[in-house]
Amino acid sequence: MPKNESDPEDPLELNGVALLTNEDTHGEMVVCFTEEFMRLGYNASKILALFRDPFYIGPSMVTQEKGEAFVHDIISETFKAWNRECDLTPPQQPQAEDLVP
Amino acid sequence: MSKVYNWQLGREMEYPYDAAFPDRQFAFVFNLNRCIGCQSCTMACKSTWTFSKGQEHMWWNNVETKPYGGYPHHWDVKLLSLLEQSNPGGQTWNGQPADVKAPYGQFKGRTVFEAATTHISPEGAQRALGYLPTDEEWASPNRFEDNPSGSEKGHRGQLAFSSGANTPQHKTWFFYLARLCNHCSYPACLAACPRNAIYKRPEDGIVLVDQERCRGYRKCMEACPYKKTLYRGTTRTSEKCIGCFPRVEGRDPDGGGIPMQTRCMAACVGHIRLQGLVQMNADGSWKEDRQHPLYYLVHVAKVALPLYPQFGTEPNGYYIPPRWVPRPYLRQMFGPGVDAAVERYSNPDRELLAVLQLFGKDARMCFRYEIKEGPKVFENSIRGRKFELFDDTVIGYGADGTKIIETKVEEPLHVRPSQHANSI
Ligand code: SF4
Ligand code: SF4
Ligand code: SF4
Repeated sequence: MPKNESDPEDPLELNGVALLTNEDTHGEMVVCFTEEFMRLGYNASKILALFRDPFYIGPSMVTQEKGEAFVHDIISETFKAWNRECDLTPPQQPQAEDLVP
Repeated sequence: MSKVYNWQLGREMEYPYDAAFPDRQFAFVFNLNRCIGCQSCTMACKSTWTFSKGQEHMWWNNVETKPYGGYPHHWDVKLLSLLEQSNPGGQTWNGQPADVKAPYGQFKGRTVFEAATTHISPEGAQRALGYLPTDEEWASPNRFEDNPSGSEKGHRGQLAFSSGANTPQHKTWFFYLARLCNHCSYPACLAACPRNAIYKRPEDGIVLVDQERCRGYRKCMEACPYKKTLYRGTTRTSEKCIGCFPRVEGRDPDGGGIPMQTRCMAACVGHIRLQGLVQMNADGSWKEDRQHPLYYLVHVAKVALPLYPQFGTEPNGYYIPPRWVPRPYLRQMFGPGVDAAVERYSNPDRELLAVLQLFGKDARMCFRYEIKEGPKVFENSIRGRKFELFDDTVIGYGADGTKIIETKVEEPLHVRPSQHANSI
């Protein structure tokens, strides 16, 4: 049954989680995911699609926090550094419906 | 207590039994930069070994979202704090990384075995410092996981699972930590068992619970710092990962008689896993085996590090740390080798790029690799360093010398046409 009230006795209840650090590692995440998927053979637009997809929480979190232009730039730079053709067109403003909260 | 040498700590330590090592040791390397948390590994194990009555709560392989999740809940936080309480401020490393006998320097703190000598639990003295997780802690293995709540195809913006929970997302870094029993060289589970029901196989170092001898005292569960033995109420015995030993022995018909990687390794869609058997010296260090991919990753490239080496069990699971995660967290989890490992993985050399191609390519175990040099593809500067990419060919061989893998660094990608998406 769906419920709105928190129940501290419920073992499935979410508890507060203290963050060990708020260090901003978004940029390094984008570089890492881009390099890994690029080495698997994905092209740049497929990789950007991962960052737009809310089911890929890590990548989509970066897009939500930093905006698509941030992700777009890092993907392009990474492809350039690895001497690969980048098939991305210049960044567009993200559409509200692309970013599911 | 005996004095044994733990190369991961770079020193001798106390252990309840004399050291005894297998001819070859079950070991694995996981590349955490690649794990997508899909749980295919978890389900491969579950559907092979733990689908019976009384095993419902058992996940011999699990994948948890760090730093939030844990199965059982908070297992590592609890262990680290027990050790800290026993040796406040003293759980530190020093010394210089040396050879194969002390690649991470020396650990100055206390292991679970050493801390147990001064720690008396409510039930009496322990052989390894530990605790027994509660039933609640074993429940809901994916609590604190990241939680995608996406939209159905064609309905962007609408929640697909409107009746499901829409729980908060993590707003900062996280990564997926895939885990199974480490088939430790100094198993705490084995040390703690009052019935001598746990044994380490001399042929491959796999640690097993003898179901005939086990009486379900759960001392292993209390002692294993990784919490990888589990209690089964229907048989009143403890069970754990069996290292898929029939496959490791080469008895899975699919392998054609040569050793295969375990179910959880072979099922990994992210190609993050490479498992094998490594040769051991009489003192427990790894015998030099330069062309063995695991030897290369752990002892030559040093990109793969043990999980919580400070616990002292000498785990045989190694991890390439996720490079975006803040270093203090990684150093606590993988020891002082982290900075060099992340640096090397982020700026891979020619051999590392080739060896990484062996991950996930064939279900049979790779015992040796060879690299055939190919042409230089380009030269560039990445993050201020010179980088060269060569299209080398890497060839992997199985236990009997059969060629099992041949692939290139610049591997071609074949996309299956949509009309044949599900055909084999
Ligand atoms: S991980 Fe735990 S259960 Fe596995 S061998 Fe080590 S101490 Fe035993
Ligand atoms: S090695 Fe086999 S038994 Fe162990 S976790 Fe993996 S699939 Fe399960
Ligand atoms: S199958 Fe591989 S990628 Fe998927 S969760 Fe397991 S280890 Fe990670």
